[in-house]
Formats: sequence, structure tokens, C-alpha cells
Amino acid sequence: MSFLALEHVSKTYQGMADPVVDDLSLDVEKGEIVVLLGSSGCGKTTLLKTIAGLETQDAGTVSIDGECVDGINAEKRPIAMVFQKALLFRNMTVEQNINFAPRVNRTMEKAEMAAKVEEMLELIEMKGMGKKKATELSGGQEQRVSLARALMTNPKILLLDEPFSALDAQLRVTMRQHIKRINQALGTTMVFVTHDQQEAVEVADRIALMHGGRILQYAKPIDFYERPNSRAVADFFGWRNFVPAQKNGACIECALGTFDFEGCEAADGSVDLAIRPEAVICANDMSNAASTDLPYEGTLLDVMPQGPFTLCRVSCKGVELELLVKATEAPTLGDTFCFGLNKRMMWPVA
Amino acid sequence: MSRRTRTIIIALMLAAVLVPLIPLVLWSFTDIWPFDQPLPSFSLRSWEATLRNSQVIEALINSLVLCVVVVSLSLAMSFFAAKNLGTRRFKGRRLIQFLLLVPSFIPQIALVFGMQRVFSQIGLYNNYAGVVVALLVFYVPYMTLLLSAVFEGYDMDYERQAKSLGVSSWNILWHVTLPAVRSGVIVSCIFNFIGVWAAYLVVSAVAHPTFRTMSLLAFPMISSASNGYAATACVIFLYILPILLILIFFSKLLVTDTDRPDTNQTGGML
Repeated sequence: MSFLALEHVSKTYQGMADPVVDDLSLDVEKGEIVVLLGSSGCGKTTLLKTIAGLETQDAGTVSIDGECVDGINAEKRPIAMVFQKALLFRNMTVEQNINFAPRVNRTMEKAEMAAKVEEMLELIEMKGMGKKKATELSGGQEQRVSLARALMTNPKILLLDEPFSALDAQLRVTMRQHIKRINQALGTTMVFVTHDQQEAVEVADRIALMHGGRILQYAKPIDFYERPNSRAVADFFGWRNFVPAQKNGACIECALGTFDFEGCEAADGSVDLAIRPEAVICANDMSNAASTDLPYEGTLLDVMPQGPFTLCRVSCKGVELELLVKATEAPTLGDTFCFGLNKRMMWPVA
Repeated sequence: MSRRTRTIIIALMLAAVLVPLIPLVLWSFTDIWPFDQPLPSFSLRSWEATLRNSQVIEALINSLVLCVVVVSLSLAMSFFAAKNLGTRRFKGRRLIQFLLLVPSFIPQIALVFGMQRVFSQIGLYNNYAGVVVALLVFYVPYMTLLLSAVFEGYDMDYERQAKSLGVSSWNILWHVTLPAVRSGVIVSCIFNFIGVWAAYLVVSAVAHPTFRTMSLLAFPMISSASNGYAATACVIFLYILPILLILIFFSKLLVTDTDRPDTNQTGGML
């Protein structure tokens, strides 16, 4: 049985016609980091609050460690949540913030609490900063203290609601590493909400991509780059080219040729062959291109430099493709562009 | 604002409050003040007489008890209503806010005589209970309005955060909510205290002539000065003193309010 199990959970807010969470089921294993990924309004935060007990679902059940927690108040659930804002109590020190819950609930001896706070400070790499005021911390430090405060309660499940979205890009990378490290050190099961695809891929053991209150695909991060199960998923994960094709069993036929894709679950008939922009294999001339799987010769329509890469819009065999080429290998407008395609970055979607 | 400018402004504000009290203090310690003398001859005679006067002591005690009871009850009765009104957006919210203003719009005199009649029929005339109920009619809506303005800037996520950490509702109220809105609550209580302390019409309508409060005692004295300027000055000074003491006691907290979960939460009120 899954450690966290959601079965057919639905939630509609008063005054709204459509459900925010729509008949959604999800299983999370113990010690796993599952990321709920999706654009704003897709229901991921509502789902997280439902797990936390801060929202009540209209239908469905939530179980933790085999026990149904429906009807159990948020404060009684074995869960802690870290919000988008650090929400530190500014009249308190770092230490007082971290030990807030056991201190006010009187659930821990003073000595035990002090030792645990030290352990937490070490875990978040803020040793010796316990006496600092919460107002003296940087954004990243605030979020780490918020994380430590949540972990201090020994939650069975840690919920994180876009905890790093207010931080700058570099700090976010560091914070993601913190999360991974803490997960490995404590083995805490985590459900992490984000709209950032990169963040999801870096943090997650599994990703649940949500749209319209439903899960479009629930899989390991690599699967979203190699085997998206629908065009919507492929769109979200940056598959930019969709070539109309016909599927017949494992055989896919389109303007670019005929390919075999084992394990594709799309129904036979009309499909799209999704091609990632990074699928391009460059060749400066046809002789090099011949050494690749599929040599193509295309007309370059547009060239858009993007730092270390250049996005090329190419017309080939009546199909327009957007391909990401290393800046050093980028062709210039007017050149004939010869290229191959990496089949691992192509997948048929319905 | 620079430190110097702030100091000057505070000094001017203090002067505006304290300078008018100087003649009052002088008069209260005056024995005789002939018109051709710049200063009077001082004595404690009026103070001794005032503090020995059982009517003054009774009025002082009654007023203090009324203030404490009415402010406490109105705070207890309005706190959660104000919190919901301030933090939630629901249909009819504006209408409720308008209805809470109604007791302030309607002249008290239009209500108090009706109250007098009803109170005398149900045994609430000329006693503590009656005065408390009559004052609550006016001061619960007032307190609710003041506190709802405080809660407008309150971030409920702090409570959700505490709840998700397993903190009980009582501890959330005590350690999260109250510290966050403390200044606003104090200001609202001070406003209500001043209102109840100065209540004249309501008290005189539902509890007179044997029930005495400081306002019932002081106002006729001020208008007639029948007991002499010195005695009147003593009573007025006693009338003002509790309010001054409260302001002084809470002034530090209200000027430098850093001791709450988030200093940006209730800024509008203060």
C-alpha cells in the first residue's frame, strides 16, 4: 500500500462552475519526493492543502500510512507544510522559530528541544545562527529556517508549496540541493508543488503533471523528455515540433520518413510525431550528415541566437521544424542546413 | 522622517496635550489666587476634600469597573466577528459593516429613552448590569468596526502555517493571532475605554440619580463650578488621569511596535 494515497479526490470552490481538483488519484511511496507540476490555477496548491487538511475535499479520500485522515483536523495530521512565503515569526529568533510548535504545544523537554534545534540548524547549514533575529535573515535563510521549523515536528510527510519561487535563480538551485540532501538524510516523504519544469526535474523522484484539476502524466522525470503520453504533456515539457503522422502498431509514418517506436500507447491512426528541438544532429556538409541516422537537407527560414545555442527554423520535406543548434555550429541564413535527428528525442503523441 | 523631526513632532504633540493641563494642576493646588497675583498660594486642601468625598470615590470606582467590564466584554464579543469581517471576503460583508455603523449614526438620545423604559420594566434600571448592557449596545459595534480594520491587513497564512505544524487552536490564538494584532487591539480598547469613561447620556438615562460615574459627576461641576474652581479642578484632574496613565503606559508599545510576528500586517490601523 502507498504511504500517501489520494483516491478520486474532487474539490470545487463555492461560486466556481468547474472543479479545481477533479476526480484525482495519486500514490506516493515512503521517502519519495513527488512534484506536483503545472501552470497557475491547475489545482496543485488546492491538492496540497487538501492533503494538509487546510481544505476539505468534496469527494474522495486521503490516506496516510494506511490510515484515512478525512475528517482529521490539519493540526492533528502527521504533516508539516512549507509555504511560498517563509512566514517566520518576526518577533522571534531563529531558534524560537524552529522550536515554535513543540515549544508552544509543550510536546518536548527543553534539553531534547535544544538538541533537536542544533541538529536542525546543522541540517540547514545555519549552525551558530540560532540566536539571530528572524528579521536579520536573507530570503534563502528564511526559507531554510521555515524548512527546519517544519522538520522539527518529525512529520511523516512534508508538503512544500512553491517554497523557492520568491528566491533568485542561483539561490533556487542551492535550495533544491538542500531539499534533496534533507530527503536523503531523513528519508522524509515530500510532496513539492512548483510551476517550474526545471525545478521539478531536479527535485523529483516522480512528477505529476497537472492540468485542469487532473493529472496528465505521473512518471519519472526522464519519461517526460522521452515518452510524453499526450500532446499537452509534450507541449509543457518543451517539445516544440509536432509532425502529423499515421500510427500503425509500432510503425509511425510521416513526411520525415518511417520510424519504429516500441511501447507507444497512443491508439493507431492519426497521431503527431513530437520532436524535441534538441533532437537535431548537426552536420556541416552532407558527408557528415550521412554518418547520422537520418540525414535531412533543409532550408533555413530563421536563426534566433539564444546564448550558447541558436534556435533555427528549418523547412524540410514540407515540414517546418524548430531546432536548437550549438552556437558554434549555427548556420547562417541562406545556407543549406544539413542535419540528422536523434530518435530518442522523438515520440508519437495523440 | 529624520530622528530630529520626529522628536520635534512628538514634543509638539506632548505639549498640545500637557500645556492645557497646567492651569488645571495649578488650580487644584490653589488655596487662594487673588487676581493681582501671578501665582496662587498653594495648599492640598482641595485634594484632601476631594479624596475624602465618598461621592467622588464611588464615581471613580464605578467608572473604572464599568470601563474594564465593558471594554473586556466588547473585546470578547467582537474579536472573532471582527476577524471574520476583516479577513474573509463574502457576500453581504459591506452591508454588515454598514449596519455596524448604524449605532454611531443615530443620535444616542433617540435610543436611550426607549432603553430607559425597557430597562426599568426588566429590572435593569439604575444598576451595574443595566449600564453595562446599555453601553455594550453602542460599544460592541464600535469595537467590531475598529478591530475589523485591524484584521484587514492580517495575513491568515501565519495561522495556516501554525496549524500545519500541529499547533492547537488556542496556542495559535495566543502565540500567533494576538501578537500580530496586539497594537490594533490595544488602540481599539483605548478608544473604547475613553468612550465608556466619557459616557454621559447613556449612563444618566439608564442609571440616575443614585448611580454615579466620573462623567456624571464632572460634567455638572464643569458647567457650574459650584464647588469652587479648586475642587472642580481636582475632579477634572481625576477625570483625565486614568486616560493619561493608559496613554503613557501604552505609548512606548504604540510608537515602537516591533514585537509581533510581522510588522507589515496591521500597518493601516496604526
